[in-house]
Amino acid sequence: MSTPTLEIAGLTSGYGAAQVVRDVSLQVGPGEVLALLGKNGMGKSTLLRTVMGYLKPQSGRIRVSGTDIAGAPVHHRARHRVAYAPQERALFQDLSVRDNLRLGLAHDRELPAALDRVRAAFPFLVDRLSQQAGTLSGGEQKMLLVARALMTAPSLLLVDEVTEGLQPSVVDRLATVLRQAAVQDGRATLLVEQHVRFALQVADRYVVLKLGAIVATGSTHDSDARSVIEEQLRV
Amino acid sequence: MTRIALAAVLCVAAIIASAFLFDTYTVNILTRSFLFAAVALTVDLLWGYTGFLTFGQSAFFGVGAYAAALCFNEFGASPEIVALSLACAIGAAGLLAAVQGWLSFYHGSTPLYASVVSLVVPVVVTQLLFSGGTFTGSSSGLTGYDVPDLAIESWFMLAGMFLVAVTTAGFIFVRSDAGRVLVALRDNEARCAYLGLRTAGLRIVLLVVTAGVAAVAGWIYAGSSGVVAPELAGFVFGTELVIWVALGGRGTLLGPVFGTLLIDLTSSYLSGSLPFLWKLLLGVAFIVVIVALPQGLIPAMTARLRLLRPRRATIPVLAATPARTAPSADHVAIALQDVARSFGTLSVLQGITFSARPGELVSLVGPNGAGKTTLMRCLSDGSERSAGTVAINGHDIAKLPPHRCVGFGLGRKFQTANVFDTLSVAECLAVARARRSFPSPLRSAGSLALPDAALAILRATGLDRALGTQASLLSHGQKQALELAMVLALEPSVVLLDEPTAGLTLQERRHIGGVLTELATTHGLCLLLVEHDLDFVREISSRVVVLHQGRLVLDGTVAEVVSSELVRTIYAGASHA
Amino acid sequence: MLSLSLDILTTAAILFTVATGLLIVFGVMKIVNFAHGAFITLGAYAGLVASQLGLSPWFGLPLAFIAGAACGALVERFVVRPLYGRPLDAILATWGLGIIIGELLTLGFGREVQFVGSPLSGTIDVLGEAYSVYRLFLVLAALIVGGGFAWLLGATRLGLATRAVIMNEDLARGLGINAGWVRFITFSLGSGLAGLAGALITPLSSVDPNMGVPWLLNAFMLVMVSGASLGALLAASLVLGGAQVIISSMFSPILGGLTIVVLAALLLRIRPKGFAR
Repeated sequence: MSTPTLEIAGLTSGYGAAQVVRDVSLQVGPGEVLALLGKNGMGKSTLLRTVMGYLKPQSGRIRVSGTDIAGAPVHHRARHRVAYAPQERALFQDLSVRDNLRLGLAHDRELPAALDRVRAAFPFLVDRLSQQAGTLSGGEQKMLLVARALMTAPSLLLVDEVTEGLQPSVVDRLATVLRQAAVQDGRATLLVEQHVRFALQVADRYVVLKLGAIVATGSTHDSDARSVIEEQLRV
Repeated sequence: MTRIALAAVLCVAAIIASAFLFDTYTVNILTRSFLFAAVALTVDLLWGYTGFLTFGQSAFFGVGAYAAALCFNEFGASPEIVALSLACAIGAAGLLAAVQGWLSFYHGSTPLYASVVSLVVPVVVTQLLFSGGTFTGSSSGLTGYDVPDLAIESWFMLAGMFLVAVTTAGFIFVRSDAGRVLVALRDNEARCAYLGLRTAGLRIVLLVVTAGVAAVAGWIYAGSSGVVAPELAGFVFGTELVIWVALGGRGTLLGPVFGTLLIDLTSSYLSGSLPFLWKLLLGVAFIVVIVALPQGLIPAMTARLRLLRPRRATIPVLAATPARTAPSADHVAIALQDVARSFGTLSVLQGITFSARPGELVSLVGPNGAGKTTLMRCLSDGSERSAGTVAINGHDIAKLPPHRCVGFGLGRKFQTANVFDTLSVAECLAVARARRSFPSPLRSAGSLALPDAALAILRATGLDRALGTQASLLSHGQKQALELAMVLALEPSVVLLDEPTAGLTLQERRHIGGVLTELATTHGLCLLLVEHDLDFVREISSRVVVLHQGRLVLDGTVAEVVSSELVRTIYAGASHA
Repeated sequence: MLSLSLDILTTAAILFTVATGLLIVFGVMKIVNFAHGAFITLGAYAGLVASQLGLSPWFGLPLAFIAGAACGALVERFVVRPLYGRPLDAILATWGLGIIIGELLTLGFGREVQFVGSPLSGTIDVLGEAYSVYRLFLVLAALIVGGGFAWLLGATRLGLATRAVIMNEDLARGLGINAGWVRFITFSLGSGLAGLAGALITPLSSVDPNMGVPWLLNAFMLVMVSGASLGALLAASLVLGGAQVIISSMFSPILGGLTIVVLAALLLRIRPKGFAR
């Protein structure tokens, strides 16, 4: 079996003394999409922030492509092909679309090739490079966010609730792009979601978090996947 | 208390003895050092205890010195003039401090801004002294004026006793209940404001009092030395005071006093032989201390830290306050009318209208970014909302700051546990009671009276057996419980809770849930709760209000909300299928 | 009237040049560099050394920049970096550094006031009014400094990274920007600019080990009312510097010297954002 792109073992994390993520272990392989489901406040975003290095784990291990990244600063992780699309305040609102995309790259000379990839995924962005990011609509901003995360051709993609508040056509577009990134380009994706249908459409496997711990897991192709998840998330 | 008195008496005796032991030069230098140490002590009270980094205490010292010198220069040094000049010194410095305080401290001011103003004050005072012509002596200052007829040794003893008196008073004050309020201000000013304390007012009062002390020190300086110069009020002296306090150990009172005495005395001896090298060494030492030993040199050198740090050891006995009758259910506890909040063109809340009565437990739910926490802010701080009206128990909160809203019967529990990290559990609770009965500046009370609801929480979570534990050492769940107990200690009739169960275990959640329902049903409180966990909401709420994209979309019973298709659509995303 | 306008213009130019380095450090690092005044003094002495060595006075300018930048680089690495996360302590430590630099300069050059010749002497006729050439040159210098900074921030990769760190440091780090490196470069550049400003202002005044302190105060207040915006700094320099010139000439230079600090403090009390939008 090949080395998983992301391997988390016994991870506990949180703010100060609070434990928001409790003893979580999971793996995501190349080309695989893992959906991390759960209601608000159950520790999903905290898990992503810990993987990205914004929070120090209280215990446990995180490996990316076989390397323990425990002590690495955030920007090292980003430079070593971990891309993160956060949920809130994630664009530089006052900068242009082009500058936002440039910031996803390490060097400007990679820009033309990267823009070609953006054109394939979200053609409208390439036509509006000089527009200020803050003036894009909500859905367009989310697409810019995903486009920026894909700029560096990451091996691991962390996406936090990208569908929140979006109309169905945008959700479908994002599903196609994320699925392609996995299948065609072999990116490992950890997808935090509340939108069950979207998650089932994009992901290969799912994990449900409750109070920071994994309470259910399985393949999205299982016939009972949907009912298991909805049972855990029931309103 | 008796130990402090004994130490003070010993110090006074030592000072009287040394007046006859030391040579004149040393006596003169020490007189000055005593006075500088007294000013350094005021810097420590402001910076070390309340977290206000001030460069401006020199201004008050200068004002005091000039008040004396000008009076003596114009009218001589008769006993009446002595009294008058002292009154002028304290009055002028107090007035200046009040102006500085008004500029520096207001709802929403930042620590950096307050430090900026503290820099401006000495600059302005020095420039005014420069421009005073022959009246203030301009850049050369005043000299040769009449001074009260005292021997050098008498001035020395006066200065020494003044320092001992100020230090003793400072010691008693910081160990008292009122002194703990200052530390609470430093640890968490927002929490203080939401405990109903007039934080800006407290800071201004403290600044005025310390300005008076610095002015008296300046007054003695002008009398004992016979010379005053604009540099005494300058910001360079102001920053030197900060350096002495940092080296001596901020927040210890004795550290800064001894630090100042040691440094000023050494400077006087070394500045003759090694003038610049000495200042250089001082600068290096200062940086090393700031970077590597933030607690200061003296505490780092003395192993007997506990002796130096004024810390009270007594743990008060808990008592119950007289029970209050539960608020009658026939009035409106919270009333919102068309409340809106926008940031520029971005509208976060609009047209929010609802009300709640005593005994109701209303949950506020909605996805991230729905505006729940913003609504909580609009309810507890009059300056937060952009439009609409909010009334708490029938009082319009208008544009009033948080501590006034608390006065209408409001209590607010923050999302992250907001306690005073360096205070003990009992001290945190005492600060929460400070609005009801302002604590004594002299002693620490032996008992702490709390309302039943707060006592119930303490007992249920075992905090009543951990009253002496420092708050930062508590577990996350205990901190949440402590903050809730602090809010209940206010005896509020309306309580806002922002995700009280975030980060808690399932067991702790059940527990808090039980407490909250009881507060509503038994104590007749009106509770408004922001909560993500819908299971929890369903178990405890009497009513649910749903927010979505800044609008109120549903206001109904738990059953109505749970069965609502709309809520499923906006909340779970699950029904997109 | 014309002379007054020129005074306002040149004073604003000087204030802008002196404050730019402080502004950029404040914008990126959210700390106030109290050693800025000492770096100004350092630059002035670099100019003095250049003239004592018999070099062209113009040579003093790059020398001053290099001296300031090198000193700033050391300070960032060994003093400011460990205090990241304790901003008030960082402010205090930079003040301590100011003392050290001042005392080292005193040890090296003595306490007395010294003078540096102006690279441009004499006056020029401006619409019938004779006016100092050097003061007018300072307007050009301010334009070059401001324009250079605007170019650096707006048109380079480093500038983009710097703006990203100013706007949202966490997000910038998540995109692979080494915020620590950006802070290091910024601090060195800001200190270099302080040195350059010191060398630029000396022909107008004199050189002594404490000359930076009054400049520091004015620059500090200007930065406080400007947030992290170069445009706002320009506006603040013109308005407050203009007020200073007018009050100095109409009332007294001493009141004039207080104008900036007092007006800025009052402005912040009424409008915490100051000149920033």
